[in-house]
Amino acid sequence: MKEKIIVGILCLVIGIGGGYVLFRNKGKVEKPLPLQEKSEGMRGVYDIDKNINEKTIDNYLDRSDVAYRDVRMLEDTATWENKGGERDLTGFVRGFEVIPYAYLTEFPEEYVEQKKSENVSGLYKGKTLFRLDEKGNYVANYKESMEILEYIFPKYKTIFLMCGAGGYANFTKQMLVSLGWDKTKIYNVGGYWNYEGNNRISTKVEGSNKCDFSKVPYYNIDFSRLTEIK
Amino acid sequence: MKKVLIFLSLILLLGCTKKIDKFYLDDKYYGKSEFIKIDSNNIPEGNYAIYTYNSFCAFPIHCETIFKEFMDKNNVSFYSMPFEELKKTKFHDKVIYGPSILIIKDNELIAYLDAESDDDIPKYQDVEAFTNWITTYIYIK
Repeated sequence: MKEKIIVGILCLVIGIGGGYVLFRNKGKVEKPLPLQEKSEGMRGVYDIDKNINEKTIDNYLDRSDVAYRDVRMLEDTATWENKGGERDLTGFVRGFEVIPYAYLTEFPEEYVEQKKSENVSGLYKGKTLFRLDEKGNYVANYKESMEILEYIFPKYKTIFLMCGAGGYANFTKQMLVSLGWDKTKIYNVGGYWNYEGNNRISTKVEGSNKCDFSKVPYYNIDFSRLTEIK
Repeated sequence: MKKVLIFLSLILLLGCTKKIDKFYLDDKYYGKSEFIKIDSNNIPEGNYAIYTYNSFCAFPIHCETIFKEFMDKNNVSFYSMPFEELKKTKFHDKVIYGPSILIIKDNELIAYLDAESDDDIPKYQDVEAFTNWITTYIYIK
């Protein structure tokens, strides 16, 4: 009888302990995020969030319910140096994974023209997952386009978008919403250039102008392996 | 009694109204209309205006076009500086986000367009609204 009680207690302890170890990371309940609220002014026009943005993002990192995406190119093809900018992705916020907007869809024509007027030319014009038709709808260029997009931007998570200053993040949000994503779950958290927190990861190689992109978590889309829709 | 109250109200009103001392930019900024590139290492002295920009300004009407139209119409030049550079200056204490126009008098920031203010949106998008705003502070010749 005594042995049975001891075995019973042991089983209970092992069961509870094992269950705790197995499930402690599953179903973790995160604190609710502030509801979306547009910033005022021009930043609001770009839909940059008033509560979760470059100044506050450090308080919202490492969440299991959020997909963090930075939509800049590793090395931009446009002549940003003509406007005092940089082509290389010289840094990013820890936890953000890079998927260039330029590979998702083509730039709106008026944006291309505007950049030309600012002496910024050479915006990426290569292959993209989607294109814009004459009515402004996004049309898949490849059979796998939507599957890739859903993998990179999981619909079951909240998505935080960042870019250089908030513009490309806004374009990306517009595209995702147009393709069926829930607007309330996508936050434009602004631009890396305005970030002043403690989670900056620099890609710059010390004592050089070069960048080391091996530090960057990056989604590489190999268009040559995709099936083009003709 | 009524007269006294009116008099006191007037005094209070006048006391609360901040007087704007309109001024001329330094002479060298009149007569031409161009953006003069500067960076944080060569901030000029005197009275002048700075246009600071991000590369993402993608309004239907680009704000730079609005500012340039004002400059062309009035033959006045502004400095221009990427926001990354402005962040290294003392002006960044107040100007938190670009793009913006900063009005400087005697090396001090007098006024600026706030990219985070709804009131300022028209000034980025309409020449008349921008002109009305900037000419509150500076004279044009």
